[in-house]
Amino acid sequence: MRIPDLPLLLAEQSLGRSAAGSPVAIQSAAGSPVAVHEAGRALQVNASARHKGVVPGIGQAGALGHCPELHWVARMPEAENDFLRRKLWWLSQWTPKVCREDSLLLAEVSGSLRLFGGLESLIGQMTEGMRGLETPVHIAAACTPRAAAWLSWHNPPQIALDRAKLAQALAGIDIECLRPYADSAGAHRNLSMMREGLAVHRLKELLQLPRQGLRQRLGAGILRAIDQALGRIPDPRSWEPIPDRIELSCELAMWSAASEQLLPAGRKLLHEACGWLRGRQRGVALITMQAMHRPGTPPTPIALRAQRAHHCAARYTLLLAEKLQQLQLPGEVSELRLQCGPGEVIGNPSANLFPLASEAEEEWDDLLERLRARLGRSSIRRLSRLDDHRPEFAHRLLPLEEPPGKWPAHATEPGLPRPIWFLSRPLRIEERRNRPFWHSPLRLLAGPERIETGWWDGHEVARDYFIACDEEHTMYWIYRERSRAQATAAQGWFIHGYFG
Amino acid sequence: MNAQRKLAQLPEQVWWADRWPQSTQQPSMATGFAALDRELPGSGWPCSVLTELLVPRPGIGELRLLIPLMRELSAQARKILLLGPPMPPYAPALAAHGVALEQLLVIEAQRPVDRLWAVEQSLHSSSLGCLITWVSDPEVRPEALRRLQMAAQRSPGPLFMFRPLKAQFQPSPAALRIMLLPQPQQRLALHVLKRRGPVLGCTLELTLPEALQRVSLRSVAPHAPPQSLPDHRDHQNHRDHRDHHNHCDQPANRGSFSHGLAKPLPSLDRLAHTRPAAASG
Repeated sequence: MRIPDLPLLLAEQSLGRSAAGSPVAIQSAAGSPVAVHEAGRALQVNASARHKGVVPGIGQAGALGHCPELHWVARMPEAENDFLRRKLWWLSQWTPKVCREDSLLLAEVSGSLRLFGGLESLIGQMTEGMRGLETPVHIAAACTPRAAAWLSWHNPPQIALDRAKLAQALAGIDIECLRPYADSAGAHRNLSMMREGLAVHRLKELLQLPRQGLRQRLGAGILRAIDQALGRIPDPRSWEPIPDRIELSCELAMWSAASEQLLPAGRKLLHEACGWLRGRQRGVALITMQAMHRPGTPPTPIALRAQRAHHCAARYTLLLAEKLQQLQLPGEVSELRLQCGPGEVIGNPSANLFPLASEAEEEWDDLLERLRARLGRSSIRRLSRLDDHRPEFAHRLLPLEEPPGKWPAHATEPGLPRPIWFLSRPLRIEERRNRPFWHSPLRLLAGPERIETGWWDGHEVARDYFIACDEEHTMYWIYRERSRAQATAAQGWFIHGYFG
Repeated sequence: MNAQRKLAQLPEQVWWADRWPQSTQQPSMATGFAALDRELPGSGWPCSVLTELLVPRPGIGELRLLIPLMRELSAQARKILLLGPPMPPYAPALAAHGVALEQLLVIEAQRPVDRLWAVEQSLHSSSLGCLITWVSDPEVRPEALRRLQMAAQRSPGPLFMFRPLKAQFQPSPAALRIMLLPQPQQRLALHVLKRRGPVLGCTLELTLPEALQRVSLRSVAPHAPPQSLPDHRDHQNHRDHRDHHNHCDQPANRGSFSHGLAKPLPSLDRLAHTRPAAASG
């Protein structure tokens, strides 16, 4: 997998950022000529610079002579390194065997093809994923890593899986691809001479030359590279280790406090983090993000909590969208950061003909996460009943994360039926003509059910419960307080519930 | 005669206002009340549409009307959402009605905007059995109702909205509107204001499920002097054993306490709940 013109890509991105102060510059930055230089010579130039006559290899004075408005940007090896490393983590979702070669990402996918539905499907998924990360990419596949690397120069890249036809597939490759393997100045010179003096442009033509002559002119390094590409000698790679925790950051192209501006950057980060998680077959229930502000303002934390550990970027993105809507930012955000812990191992969903119960559960969890992200953590409760004879202790509204208590098998069922609506604070009603009165005199239908004591936790009750109904036929659950302390005072009647 | 013959030849798509529409198949879920099923299109609570239930005040038996449905849905492990109920629902009562509590969730949303959003979000989910929401404000913007009705079309289950009686004068896009009025003897009167079918002139009366069926209702002497009750605290230990005994050995008798205070005291004794045996040790 090759990311074409990576230095240029990063330069253009950073130009967009540095120009963020002045809107005029931003608009021009998109199409303005850019050249990336290394050691005083232009390394890569973009299309509009090329159009003005700036070509790779040109010096600064010459380049600015051709195009005075040119952005002459130094190459950023650090940023490139970081960028590639993150993409490598992300790539590990398809195979654990990944490594880098310069600006190239290599992945050994022969073991993963069946799982991901064949090579074409896999390449499709990778391309689609990279498009989600807004990174243009060339993907090539071959039975040797070097052949794949060379093939990826082409666009559209090719697939060469048949070892016997490898030479044919590589025939059209420009011999410039051999330059990194030249081990002496003479070899460099001779490589240029081949092109200019012998009109050898393609590998096909090079391979037709006598091998002995090639060895003398180009050196052993280039010959070895060719042999490795053709699979004649082994080309072992050491795969890069994937870390346990990752920290990603994304500078915003435009400083902003608007959630719509933050979301695309956040989505990219989540996409990368979830790719990495998927590769480790792990999921997390918490992703912490920070919105960085101008120096001096403390960062705003954004915690994305899930019902249970998963690695679905789309679900986390929805969650982030809800969070961002609720968030009050103290100022413009310059950068988003993301931390993601080691997580817990979760299996990959296996393919099934019929949707499984677990998928429905996942969808349900997803809904609850979104609801909680917007309505607040305590907004969703589950009902739970407890084995206690006192009505107020016989039920609880539990937050979602608390598991419902086990209902004991030997629990005593209450005497009178219980009301569907329960008043957590009993409503005091008056007594008229020896009858409880609430809008109209209440008629007692059933009872009493005596509920008393509770001295062991200090909530002692002494009540006689009745089912009563008013003249409009609404049924109430009422009780008469008969606690000792109030025995001398008027015996109070209270409504404790409605038979809704 | 000629005109009548012509009428009889009308294509099937023409709906006769005094008959059930034949062309549309309305998916539905049984209400649990045969009399109500007969009067609803699709013979049950219509799925994927908004059903409005107009109640004079909470607590008249409106939720017991939905208990058979909730029981059925929770038995199928489908989720039931109660969005913005006027009071906390009481878990022991729902459990006694046979509703599986683990399928039930109560959602609080203060702002009407959030509530509408929550309804829309929930209706997207395929594991949602039914959603029951309460709107206390009689003046709901018609756009909001229409949005709910649109959102309901995406859900496989029914969507219920409880509204105050005043809302009956407001036009509504709901496919089914029923006014509920309490009646004596745990009955509920249903006026079907709107349904996808012929106008229903009469009022339906349903007997609500259970609640008091274990206890035969009788008017209880309203005010017995409390002094006539023996002081239970003095005999706490004795009664602990007896109480336990009663609960274990005579489960059939447990519900039969339809007596007033004037009845002999020993049977009243059985009702007295005291501290559990473990705590008494």
